[in-house]
Amino acid sequence: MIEIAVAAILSLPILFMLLTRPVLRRLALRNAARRPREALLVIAGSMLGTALMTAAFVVGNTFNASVRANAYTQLGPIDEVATVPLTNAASLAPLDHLHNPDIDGTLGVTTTDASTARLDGAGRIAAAAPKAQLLELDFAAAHDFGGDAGATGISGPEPAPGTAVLVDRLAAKLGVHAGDTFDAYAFGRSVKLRVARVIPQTGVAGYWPGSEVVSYNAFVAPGTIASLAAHTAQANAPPQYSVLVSNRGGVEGGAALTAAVSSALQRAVPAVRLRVEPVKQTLLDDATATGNMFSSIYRTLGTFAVAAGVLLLVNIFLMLADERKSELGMLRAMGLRRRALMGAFAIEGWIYAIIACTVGMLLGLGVGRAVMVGASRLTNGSNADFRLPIRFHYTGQSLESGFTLGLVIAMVTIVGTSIAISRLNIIAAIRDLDRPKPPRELHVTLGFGVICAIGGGLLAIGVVTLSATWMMVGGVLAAIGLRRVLHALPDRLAVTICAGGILGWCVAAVPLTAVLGGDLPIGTFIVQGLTLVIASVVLVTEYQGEIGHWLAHVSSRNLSVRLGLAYPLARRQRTALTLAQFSIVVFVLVYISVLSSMFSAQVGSLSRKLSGGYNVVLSSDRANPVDLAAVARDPGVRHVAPLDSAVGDFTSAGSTGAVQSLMTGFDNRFLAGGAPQLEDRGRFPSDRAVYDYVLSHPGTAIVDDSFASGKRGPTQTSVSIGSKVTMTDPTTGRSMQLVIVARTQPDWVDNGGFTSATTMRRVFGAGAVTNRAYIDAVDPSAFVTAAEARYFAQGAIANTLHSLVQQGLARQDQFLELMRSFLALGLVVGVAGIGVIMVRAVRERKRQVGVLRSLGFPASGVSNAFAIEAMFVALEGVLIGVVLGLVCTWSVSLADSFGTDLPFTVPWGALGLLVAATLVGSLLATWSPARAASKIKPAVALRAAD
Amino acid sequence: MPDILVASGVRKIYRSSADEVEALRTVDFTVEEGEWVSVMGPSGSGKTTLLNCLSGLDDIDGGCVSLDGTDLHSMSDAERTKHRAAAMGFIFQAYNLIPVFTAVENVELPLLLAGVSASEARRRAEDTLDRVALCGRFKHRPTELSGGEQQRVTVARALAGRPRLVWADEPTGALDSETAEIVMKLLSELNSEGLTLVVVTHDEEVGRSAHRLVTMRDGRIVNDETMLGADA
Repeated sequence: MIEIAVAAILSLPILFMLLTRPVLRRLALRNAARRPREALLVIAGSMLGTALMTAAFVVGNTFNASVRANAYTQLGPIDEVATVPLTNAASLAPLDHLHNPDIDGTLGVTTTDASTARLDGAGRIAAAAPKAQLLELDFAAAHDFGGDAGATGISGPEPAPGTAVLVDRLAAKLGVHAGDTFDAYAFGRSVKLRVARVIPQTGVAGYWPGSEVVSYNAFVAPGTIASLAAHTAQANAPPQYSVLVSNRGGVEGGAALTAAVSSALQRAVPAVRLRVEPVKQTLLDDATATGNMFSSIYRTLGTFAVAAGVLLLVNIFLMLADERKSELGMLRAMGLRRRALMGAFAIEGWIYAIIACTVGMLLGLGVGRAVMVGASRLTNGSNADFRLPIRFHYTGQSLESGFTLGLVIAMVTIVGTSIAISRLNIIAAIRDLDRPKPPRELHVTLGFGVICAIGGGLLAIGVVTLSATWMMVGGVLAAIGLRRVLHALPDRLAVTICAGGILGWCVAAVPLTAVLGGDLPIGTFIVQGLTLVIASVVLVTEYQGEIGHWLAHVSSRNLSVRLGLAYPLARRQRTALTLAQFSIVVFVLVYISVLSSMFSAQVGSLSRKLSGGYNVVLSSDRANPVDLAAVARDPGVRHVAPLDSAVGDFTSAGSTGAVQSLMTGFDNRFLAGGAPQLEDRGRFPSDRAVYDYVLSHPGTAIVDDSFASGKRGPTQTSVSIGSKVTMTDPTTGRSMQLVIVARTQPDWVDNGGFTSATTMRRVFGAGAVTNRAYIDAVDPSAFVTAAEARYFAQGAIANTLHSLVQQGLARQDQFLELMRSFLALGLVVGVAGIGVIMVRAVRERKRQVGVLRSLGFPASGVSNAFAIEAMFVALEGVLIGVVLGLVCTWSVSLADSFGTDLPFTVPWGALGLLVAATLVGSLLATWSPARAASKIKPAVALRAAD
Repeated sequence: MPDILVASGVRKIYRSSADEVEALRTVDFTVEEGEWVSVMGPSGSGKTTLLNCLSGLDDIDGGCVSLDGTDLHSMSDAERTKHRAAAMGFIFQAYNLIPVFTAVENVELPLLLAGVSASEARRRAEDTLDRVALCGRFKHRPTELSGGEQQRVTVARALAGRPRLVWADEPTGALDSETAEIVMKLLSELNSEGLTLVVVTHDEEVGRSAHRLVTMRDGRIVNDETMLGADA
């Protein structure tokens, strides 16, 4: 509604003028309708901004809906889960019949991790799901749980002893159907089970406590889990008993009651240290955060394309004004007031904007859909269990927001341009003369002096607060002010000093901030990109004469070249706007491409850094871990470093709640290989010194940037070196404060954080299970295959460190590729822009083409001249974008701006393709107007220019 | 003197979706080498259309136009363009200079089109501008020149390629009488040096300065008289 109100408020003055000012109405409507084909081009060029904004909102909606869908597939009516070890199940008995108006029902369920496999006739593993879950529950109660049987996914009778009801995803993974058999492994024992039937992954049937979106659930007969666990001495990961709670309200509506229900549950069992997980609320919050994050990223990146669209709109309106200069001058001479002239343009622009925003909004739906098709490739990355099924979704509010944002941008641009147009000099306009230079006035110079001072102040604030954004904004303002103040210098020298200064300063500001330890939010790169492009365009524009002269000389004064260059060189303001359109988009595309290439080039170095002298990571079932002493004796194994692991609750000063995260405990054996290289070792002289310190000082830890930042939400640095976090065992409530002493490389091995094994045992006791290991194998790939087969019953999952790094980088690269595809739409703005501009140029120069043709200029020469003109502007724009993109990424590589030493690697092939695509696109966009120009009959052009 | 241009039975029809207008109705017309012919007539009589059709700027719907014995309208567009660059010059009422080119660049255009080397074209363009008394205005763009100066640049552009025939459409139409007199004097001098001129005009005085005055009405030549008092 707010969006509609904003659009209405923006439109009211225009509608008022339309109704009350017949002359302005006639002027605006007739000018808009005068050339329908060109009006269509104007609309096409200006609707892309709205399309990109709408697409960004739709992407957010879709991610939100996709994550939210897990509420239906993995939770259903479940809002909270209260868990205790199975041995304490009786303590939760009061919850079974809890009467509370906010609670629909409760359901007890016994669970344990297990490995499952289907064996072939020879007893070999034919298919396996090493990370599965066995569950026992009352099917009749589960069916009715929460009052909506359809939402639970549970149907039919309880499985009989020796049988299991499988969730469809597990049945598919194992390749079994009703009547087939499979084996389940837990607590060092196995049981053969026959599939009673297969049920869909919905609601309670899909209940899965991990972060995977696939639930490999097998429902077994009561007593099956207890009998598996009965003969084991392992107490570190016992079967769990959980009470699932359904709040009043539907699948999503019940989450609002979580706080009240959690308190009620705790009050019901005061003697039990109850950990109530608000699973539904967490998931919905996660969905909102994920949606907002993606929407924000796409909107932010879309800023570049929108900026290009704004420049196109300004350019189009300046061309319109130029074409109608003499008639506007006449209107002013006849008494039309400046404000009325502005109004006429604003009305015409508003008509274009309303149509463009409406079409753009609908186009945005298509763009959003296309982006999500790309995103589904991204989320279908290497590990199928984490694949987020993409559900395309959009809300009416997103469409309204996209429309309004597009309209606001268009109207601000149009009104701004109209003000500039309305300030025409009447005589100069009527006689088609150059506009006289305004006199230099003292108060204006003083005003610029103030801008210069404010810029200097902001720059100083930026340096003190280590904010690259303020450093750049301050620098730009100072330079703008200085340009005017330096009026004693020749114009060219002053422009060169100021634009050159901005260029140098903005290139240096980012690495400088990184070196000094400042943060670099994404907004900084937008400010940097836009500023650099504008400064470069100003500088190039200042030297266009020399560039054109040189090109004409190189081309042996070819007439088509001279004519093609003459217009962009003579109309520098227009050329600068078109140049900026191209440069902005190409710059950001090059920036992301090079960055992507730099990240990809890290595989080798990052593998070495993360390896710590090892090459394989092995993890296994916590309830039935692999015997690592046996692994050490396996053929081809040089060294095994056992690691303890446990999931803890982490809180830090100022945090709103606990965040669950894995923590890994190491001992001296881990350091035998050298230990993984650290990103930031803080005050310590060497990485080894850090690890030794952590070993000898319980209560210290090493974590990475994204430690304890949540599952899918925005990754933020929650802890830094020197900060303190409290690690709590969720089962026992024991806790310890940890001091972060160093920062690791990105955690692509899923270690969570590192602390000493001693610290882990103090907090988690037997819950710190030695189920992980770093292994140095002679042939890592062969070992991975052999280990997963040999230790399958223990749920062994082995990966080479190289493959983990490759997977992580591939995910990162896919994400950047998605960004590139989205931004490439900005190129459409540039290419469409040049098409629109050339169409208008042909119309504007019809008479001149006629003269040239009458003088003997061949038709092919005319079309060549137009093509050369377009290519010249496109090529300059592309070159500015490429050079700036390379310089900025190079500075990033020098200064370690992204927290890791990135090798400066240029993807020349991709850049070549980008340049070629841009130039070919521009040529194609120019083809039609250039052809039309060549077909102009000299007599017709001379008879009537219009 | 031999005929430089012979047109016979020339017809031109302008077609629009609504109707057809026959602008030239079977016109016969010749121009001798070195002759100065003025074409006069009321608005809409077909003067400019005659110029456009006879110079090859526009297509014709019937008849034949030959320049030095070559049928202009049997040539392809490219051939006609080349021929125009080599043999003709044009002067327009609205100057029609290329606004992004300087005076000298505008004047050297036809020379470059005719294949003259860049340095030679520049030298000849400057000489021609000298001839029209614009020696100090070489580097000025059209918007920086007065109306009379712009028309003199147009004249210089028409003459720079040393054409055999110059077509002028209302060459003094936008000029004050003093400037118009300067331009006409210039054209007269050039004609006396052997240049063939066809001038379309409304100006009685300009018309009577020619060797021959052709009068048009409704797409037809209604009068073709030799001017006894003209400077020959």
